Amino acid sequence: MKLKKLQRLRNSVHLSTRFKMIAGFLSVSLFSVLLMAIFTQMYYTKATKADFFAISVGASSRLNHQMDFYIRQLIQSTSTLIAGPLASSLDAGKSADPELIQRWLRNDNDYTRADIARIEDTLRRYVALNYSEIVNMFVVSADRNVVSMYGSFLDTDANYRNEPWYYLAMERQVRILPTHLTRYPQFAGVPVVSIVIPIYSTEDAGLIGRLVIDIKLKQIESILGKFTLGQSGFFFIVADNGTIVYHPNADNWGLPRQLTDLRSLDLSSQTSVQPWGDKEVLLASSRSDFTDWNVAAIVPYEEMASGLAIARNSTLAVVLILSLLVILLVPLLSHRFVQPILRLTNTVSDLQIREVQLELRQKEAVIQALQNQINPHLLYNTLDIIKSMAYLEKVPKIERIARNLADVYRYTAKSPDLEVTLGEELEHLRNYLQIVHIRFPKHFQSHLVVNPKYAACPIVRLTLQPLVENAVKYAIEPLGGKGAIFVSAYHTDSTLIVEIADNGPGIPEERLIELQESIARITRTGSDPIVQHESLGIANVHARLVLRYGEAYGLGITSFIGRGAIVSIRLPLRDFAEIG
Amino acid sequence: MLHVLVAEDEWWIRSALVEMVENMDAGFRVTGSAANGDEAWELIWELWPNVLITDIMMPGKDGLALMKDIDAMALPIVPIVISGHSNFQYAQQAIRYGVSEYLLKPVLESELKQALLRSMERLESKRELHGTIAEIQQLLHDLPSLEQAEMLRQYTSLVDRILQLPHPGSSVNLLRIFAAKFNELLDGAGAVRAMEPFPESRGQEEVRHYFQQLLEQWLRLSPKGNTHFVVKKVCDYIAGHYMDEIHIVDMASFANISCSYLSSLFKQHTGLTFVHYVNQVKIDKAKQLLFDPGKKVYEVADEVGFASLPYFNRVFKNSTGMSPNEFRRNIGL
Repeated sequence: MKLKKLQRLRNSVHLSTRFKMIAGFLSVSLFSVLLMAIFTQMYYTKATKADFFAISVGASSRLNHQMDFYIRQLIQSTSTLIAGPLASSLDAGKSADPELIQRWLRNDNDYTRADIARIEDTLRRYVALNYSEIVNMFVVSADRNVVSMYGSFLDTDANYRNEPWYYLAMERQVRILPTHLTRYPQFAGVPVVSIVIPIYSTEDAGLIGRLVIDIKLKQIESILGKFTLGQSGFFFIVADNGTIVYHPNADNWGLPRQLTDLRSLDLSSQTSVQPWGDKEVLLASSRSDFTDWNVAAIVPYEEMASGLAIARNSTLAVVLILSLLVILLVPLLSHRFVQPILRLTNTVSDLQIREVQLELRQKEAVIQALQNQINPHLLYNTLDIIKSMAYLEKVPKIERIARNLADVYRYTAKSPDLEVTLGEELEHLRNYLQIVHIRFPKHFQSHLVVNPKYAACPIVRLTLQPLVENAVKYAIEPLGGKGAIFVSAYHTDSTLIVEIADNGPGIPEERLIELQESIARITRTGSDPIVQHESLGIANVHARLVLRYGEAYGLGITSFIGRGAIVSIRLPLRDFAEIG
Repeated sequence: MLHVLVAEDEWWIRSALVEMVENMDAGFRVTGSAANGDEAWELIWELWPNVLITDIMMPGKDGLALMKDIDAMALPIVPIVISGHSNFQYAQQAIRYGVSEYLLKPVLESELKQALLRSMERLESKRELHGTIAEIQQLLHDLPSLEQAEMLRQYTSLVDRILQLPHPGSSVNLLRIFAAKFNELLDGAGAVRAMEPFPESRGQEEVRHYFQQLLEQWLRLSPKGNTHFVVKKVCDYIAGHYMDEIHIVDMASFANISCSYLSSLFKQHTGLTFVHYVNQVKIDKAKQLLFDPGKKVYEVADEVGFASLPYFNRVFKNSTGMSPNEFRRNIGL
């Protein structure tokens, strides 16, 4: 049993080590890659966001500055146009009269068409000199008379009433009107930004009118166009009132944000991540106090996180490579590493096996030694010598007892064929009983009344004699030999029952219970660890019967105090029909 | 009358076996006893017993080897084996050598008797063979003392008779035994050239020629001057050791010649076989001792080396024609 178990252990170790190692390596490396991926995801995302925000906030505020600067410069450059004296020193030409606009504004009623034409001319010259992106310029008086750069005879104030700046109250501060489409006849439908500059009287510094400049978005476009964000990221400008100042898609120019796809965006915080359309976008904006515009940068999250995608792909690649390496290399490596361990394990289990074998051999040696305690040749020779002496001296009882003893020992020491016939057992029993008869010469009686038809029935060897020996010890000896032993047999359907009865003192109740419990334990478990020495004979016989024939068979004990005891042996009834 | 040889190394057991056979009163008599297999083998050729009772475990040649040789030579002897072991392998081996009686120790008289009676039946077929062997034995014993013409006549007639036996198998067997025995004799007597062993299949003429050559070798042997001295030496030893068991094997090695040759020299010089001579010496000594009225017969038997009283009685009667007690009465004791 033990040997087999060890052998099995060895095989299973050998088979599963490689598999275990592959699984182990694989799970450890996959786990670490997974962990790496999670950390990458977390920190990379954070870092990406931070980077994006830093860059885009910086960029948008720079854009704001550039636009502010551009507009301020534009405004700056108009001061000569509207202030007068400085302009005259620069340009002493008769056609350019810097006082002309002032004067027109102060008293516009007595101006002739020619004067107005000169104002127009002045404006045109300014534009030609300075800014090609100016679509149109208007001088608007306090009572809303308008002189356009491209004035004409048909020109009336009514042409400009639809311009957002027309009804604007006169203010002392510069107003920048977000993108809108021009409605005046000269250039209708051009998206422009209007800069409304107050004009002060050079005489009393009172507010006398305003200069309105409509500029094309060319310059803003050129400023913003340089900046790209990822693949589809872009900048756009929204005025505080929601009008889209600039958008890469020119169709959106001048539209309120609510009418475009930008309506769902929340521009209240400087930086944010928000859902937009069907994807996540990063949004960064910066506001200019000068223009009241918000420059915003928007980029789909996944584009900004393209590094993350790369990281993800590389993680997958790493997983693949690692798995491949583990699957290819681990068997090789495990072979090199495991081989010595296996050898060690084998050696150890070999040692264990050897130990078990040694144990067995020692036990065998002990049994051998026990058997050799009586050298059979010496025993039988000596018994024959005793018998021969008895023969020569004519003491037949010695001859008989010597022969009986030899026969009893021969039967006991026979190589252990498990089964014999009941006839052989009875023959052996007779030999034994003859010794008992010689021992208790007069009063001992033994009766073997077994029908010869049972003689061929198989029975475990050494069943009857140890039980009779037991009976002699506990029933006949205490009576000084004045007792009797009866051996009989009968059968039921398929069971042969052999009974050994004595007329001794019987078995004390306590002892009887002990014996019966021991027998029950043996029937259940095959052995009884707490078996007592006195009942060794009965326990041993019962154990052998149960092992051989099964739980249904074995010994049963009955006792009648003062009258005797019966041990009944239950055996399977076989080889009976042939005789019966 | 069946002749029984007992081979057993234990003195008590051997003695009891001899006595059992003698006591049976069923037509068996012990012709000799041996303490080991080698001696038994020699005594077989000397005494030609019908039955051999042998132990298996013996010093030297053991019982199994003895039976193997008997079987190989197809000697007309029925063996009865006794053993302490009911060991199956022994029994199997013994059966292979034609043993049908296997008795367990300690042997009971009744069992031995049954075995011997059964052996008698088996012996019937070997009777004829046995008689011829006795004749061969007799002739070889007589060789030294016979006249050459008479020797030649007896020799050729015996060989012819064996050749004409109705059963060719037994004929070949007997010739082989004859040849082996004669060769042994020649060897022991110091023949110059050893004959090749008897060949298995030959025509009658060749067989005659082979036996002719054997006899020529014998005749060519120059009679040894010291043969008388050798016999004398052995006789002196026997005279000094009558109280012991005296075995021919020991004497042959004592005299430094083969058992067969010693046997034939004994016949030549004393007119008796070795075994008969030894018994004669012992009985003569016993007669002397019986003159002492204080001695019991069994004490006398014991003193001359007979463990078994019946055996002693029978040998005494064979030798003197009366039992020891009758002898005593005869001399007025």
